[in-house]
Amino acid sequence: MSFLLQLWGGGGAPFVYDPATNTCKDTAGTTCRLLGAIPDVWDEVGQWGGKVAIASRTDEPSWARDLLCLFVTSSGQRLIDVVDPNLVEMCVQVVSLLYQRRPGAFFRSQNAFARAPVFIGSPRAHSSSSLFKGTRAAKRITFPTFKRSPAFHIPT
Amino acid sequence: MIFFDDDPQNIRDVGSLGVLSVLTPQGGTREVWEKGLADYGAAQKK
Repeated sequence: MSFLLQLWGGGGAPFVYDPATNTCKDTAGTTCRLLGAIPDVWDEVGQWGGKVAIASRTDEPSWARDLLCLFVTSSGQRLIDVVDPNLVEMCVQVVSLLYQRRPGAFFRSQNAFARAPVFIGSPRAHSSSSLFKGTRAAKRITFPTFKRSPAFHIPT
Repeated sequence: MIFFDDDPQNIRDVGSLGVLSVLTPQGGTREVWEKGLADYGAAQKK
């Protein structure tokens, strides 16, 4: 979830989406946008009827979830609607990656290689974050857990 | 399946499983996406 790297200004959820620019602002007023060709690439996958799988280490899985529900592809399809809900694993980021499953292990366990045409991983830039030094993974959050959570919502 | 990631270790791990894996050091750019599609197409023809 590389777009989260833009959000280190002390803000965070809830986000305000601007449909005119396909950007989100956090509570500190920091603007977050999709990087690179992601709006076009995800749009192509969606138009094929394909799905994107996600295995991402992030400090803020709930922000990633919220932003996936807000951002849209270049044709206006929400990112979350291009994701295979059975192939999402977003772990809380820690310094030592030894405590976490890597994408290969996750997708092997889910038999993902036979099901998802596209997988987009995430940067590892957070791995050096001093905020999490000495900590380890507290929990693993899967998409079904998100959906069952009272906090889960799909902004309209 | 095409696997995109910016971590060379993940690319090695997933590539070793026989999945076409594309390193994305600059993130999800048009260039790496098209390379992935081209490589995938070539692999399918073999």
